[in-house]
Amino acid sequence: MSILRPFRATDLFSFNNINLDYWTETYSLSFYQSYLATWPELCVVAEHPSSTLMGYVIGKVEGRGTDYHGHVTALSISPSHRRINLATVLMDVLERVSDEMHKGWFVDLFVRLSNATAIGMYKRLGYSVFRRVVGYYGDDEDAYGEHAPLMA
Amino acid sequence: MSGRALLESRRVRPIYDALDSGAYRSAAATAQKLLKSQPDYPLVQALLCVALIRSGRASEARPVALKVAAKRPAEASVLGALQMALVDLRLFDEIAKLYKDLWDRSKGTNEEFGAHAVMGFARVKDWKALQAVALKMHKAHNEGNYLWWGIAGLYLQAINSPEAQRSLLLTLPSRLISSQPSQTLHPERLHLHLRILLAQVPPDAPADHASLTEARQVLGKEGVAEVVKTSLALQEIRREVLERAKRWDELREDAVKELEAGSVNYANHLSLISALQHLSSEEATSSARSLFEARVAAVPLERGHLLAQLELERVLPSSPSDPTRLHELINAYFKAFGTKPVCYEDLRPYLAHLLDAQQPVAPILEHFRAVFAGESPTLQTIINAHKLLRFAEGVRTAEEESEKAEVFMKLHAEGLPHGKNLPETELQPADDLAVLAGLALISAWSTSHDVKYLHRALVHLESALAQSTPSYRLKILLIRIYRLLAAPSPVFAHSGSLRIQNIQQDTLSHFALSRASIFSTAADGDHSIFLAFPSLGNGGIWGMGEKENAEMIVKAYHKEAYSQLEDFISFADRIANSLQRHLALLELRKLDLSDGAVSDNRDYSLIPEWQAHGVSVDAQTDMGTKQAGHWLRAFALIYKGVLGASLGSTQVADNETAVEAFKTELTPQEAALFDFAHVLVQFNAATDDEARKSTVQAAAVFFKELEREYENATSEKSVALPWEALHIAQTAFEANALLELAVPAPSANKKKKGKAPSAPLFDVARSTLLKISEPPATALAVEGKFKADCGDLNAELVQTVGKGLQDARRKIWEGVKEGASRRFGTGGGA
Repeated sequence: MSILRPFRATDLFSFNNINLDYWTETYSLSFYQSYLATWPELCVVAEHPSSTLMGYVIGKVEGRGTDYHGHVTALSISPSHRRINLATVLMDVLERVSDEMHKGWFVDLFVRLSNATAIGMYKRLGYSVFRRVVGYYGDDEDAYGEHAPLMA
Repeated sequence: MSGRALLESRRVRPIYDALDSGAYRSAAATAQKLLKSQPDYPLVQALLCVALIRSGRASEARPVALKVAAKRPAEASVLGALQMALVDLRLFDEIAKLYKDLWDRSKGTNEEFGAHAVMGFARVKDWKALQAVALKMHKAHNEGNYLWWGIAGLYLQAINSPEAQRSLLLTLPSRLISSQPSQTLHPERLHLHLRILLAQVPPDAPADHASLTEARQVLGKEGVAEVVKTSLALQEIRREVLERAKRWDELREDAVKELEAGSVNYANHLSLISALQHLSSEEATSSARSLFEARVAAVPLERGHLLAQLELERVLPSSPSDPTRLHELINAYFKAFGTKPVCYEDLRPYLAHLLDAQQPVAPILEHFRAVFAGESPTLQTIINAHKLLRFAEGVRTAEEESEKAEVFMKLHAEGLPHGKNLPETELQPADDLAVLAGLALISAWSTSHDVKYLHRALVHLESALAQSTPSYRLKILLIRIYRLLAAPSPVFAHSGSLRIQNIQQDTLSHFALSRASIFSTAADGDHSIFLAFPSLGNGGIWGMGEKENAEMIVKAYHKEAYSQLEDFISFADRIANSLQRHLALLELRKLDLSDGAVSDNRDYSLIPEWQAHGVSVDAQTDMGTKQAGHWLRAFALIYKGVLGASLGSTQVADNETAVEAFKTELTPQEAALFDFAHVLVQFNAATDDEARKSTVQAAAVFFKELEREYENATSEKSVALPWEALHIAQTAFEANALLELAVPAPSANKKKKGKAPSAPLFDVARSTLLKISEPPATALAVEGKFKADCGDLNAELVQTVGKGLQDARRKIWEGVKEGASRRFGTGGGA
């Protein structure tokens, strides 16, 4: 497997092999650091023993009452490290933290309608579409909102 | 709202509205109009500052902002706008001082001012001032987070102090924590607590050091284990505590427990192996071997367990000097995971281990070769087998590499149909075969210096890229080769298509920008090459990063994300001191150079290092030497010396020892330029004709040597690469620019000119430049040779790539010639 550890700001110097991917955005410094400053426990990296980064998940918790839930903001695996269940492992960490640490009710995420690969993956992980958000993305593409319940 | 407040609101609302909608000039104009009748209106003055900054008039805003700040306004609306302005102006110290004064004036009662003061000090990393305020606030208000703000401040103050003071400074936060009624179970505070304890343990401390014992006690307290269970950060620090305390049995038991419970975190496997190395117990090691074996059997799809077997066998071999078991495990791994892209990266260290220990690898290589004869091996398995064989079989001759390249391209063509239904946004499964072909041809060229191999590599890589447009590996290899062949347009086309964003400016711009100045057409000195990175002129990611990073340190502090603080600070420092920032900006001829330490954040890991063991693609395809700190210092000295001379300074720096240190990072031409700059300074400092004469002679030698190198580099038989001739020309131009900067030009009057001592300097520079700027025949006659080198390949592609190469090369040299011609006139006098 891979070493699972907290995402650190200095990982931004080493994540190019993950981010130079059509579907993965490289956001501003403050985007990543805002998440690390607010929800450090929901930002996780999978690291190869050679120190190469293999993938990461960035998430948050939001909502109130029974709407309190974990949210996947970004999940990306480097092309050289696919098909070894990494996405499942990272999602599992995020779900467990959302559940055990934050006592959230479910986890949700948005995914581009055109990203068939990601949609298929989330389906395998037990996520189902619960809505469509028109023009969600910056380039006006629609998003599917998907969610999966947590064991509360 | 009161009548007065309503009136005020009506007057300033238009300014807010204009700012919100981005109409900054209008906001500034409205504010200025208001200030005419009411010059002393802090809120409007603050809003004016914001508007001015956002319309690019920061220098006008600065004095106004400082004036408002000096008045120490206490109204929330004023402070809000003023803080925004001060942050944008990077007047971070002012913010901290402002809130500290306001808080002092409130005699420490105003929590909001106090909190802002704490954050203000966090922004400027003044931990001493921060903790003083925070702890006073805690005393006055007894809020948990004020205490921990103070504790974190004390910790950061301690670790940034000289070693001698550190221990003492750490005792206070320790005492503050231990005097709390109960153990904190807040994950971030707990993490900080453990870090404070670890910081008190010197590197050579015994395992039973008091702080280590205390840390272990903390970890054993009620409720802590549950918190650790849900936190990767706490699990990490827990392992560190146990390692420092040399609790190997405990670490071993923990890891075993986690693995038996189904953990897939490889950190547990590594922790177990590390513990075994320290325990040196055959029984424990044997038990671990059984555990890994059992996990492999139970979860065969989980590669971590097999990897752990490999790692354990590597560090604690079953039979020393007998690689049989390692061979078995490598083969087993390949059988189970040979179809996965990660296979090469996973197995490579173990092949390297065998090769470095000079142990046999033949049985494994046979196993890999068997793939090709097997029944319907998957494409990825074939790719992995080839990569591993390439690594382990050693260096080949140029002809062998060339043949190998054709094999790879044949396999690539056969593999393409596997991805025919994939959308354009996806990589092609066959890509790596084209990369391997490119690498084989790079090695062929590297061995033989025959540029035909690089030409063929271009055709193959461009062909593969046309089928797999998102492939960064193909693009990076193309960029490297086009640079060597002095063809900047495709370099910048491909680097542009990487869509480098934000932080990647720091880590990836070097691929296109290092030594990019040799590609700027000397004709207009325009820096059109930098159009690929338009924001560089405004400070790029580094300019924006300064503000963003400061705000994020504040945010992390405010949110009590203590586990992130040190890393945020390290990140901010690495951006601020970025080597690439200085290199890129120096290439743009800006001289904002600090003499402080620089941080090399450049990411070279994207270059596919799949050559034979010990061979580096990066080294093979580097354009000259790797520019780093020494290169920066050398050029800083060149320009400082020359600029100094131009301002009349006659100070001659001692450069002998410096050049020795810099040599590793300078090309021979750059080293000569360094000496030439020194000669110019000496010329200016010379007080008699003899001294001047000798420096003129030295300068003449410099230029003549450049001419000679140029002739060598451009002769028919030369194996020099095209970029080298361009580099020689660029050096000559740069030397001429330095000459014009440092030495007053001789009079235009022909009679007077002949007598000027500097005349020979300018004459020899001109003569060399006119010669060197003539495009060499070898540079322009590319297309024919390209077609001949690639005659057996796809004719249309060869035509396109060859013409592209020819056009790019011609354009560059025409620019060089035009630059010289404009500077000196065509054949006439200067």
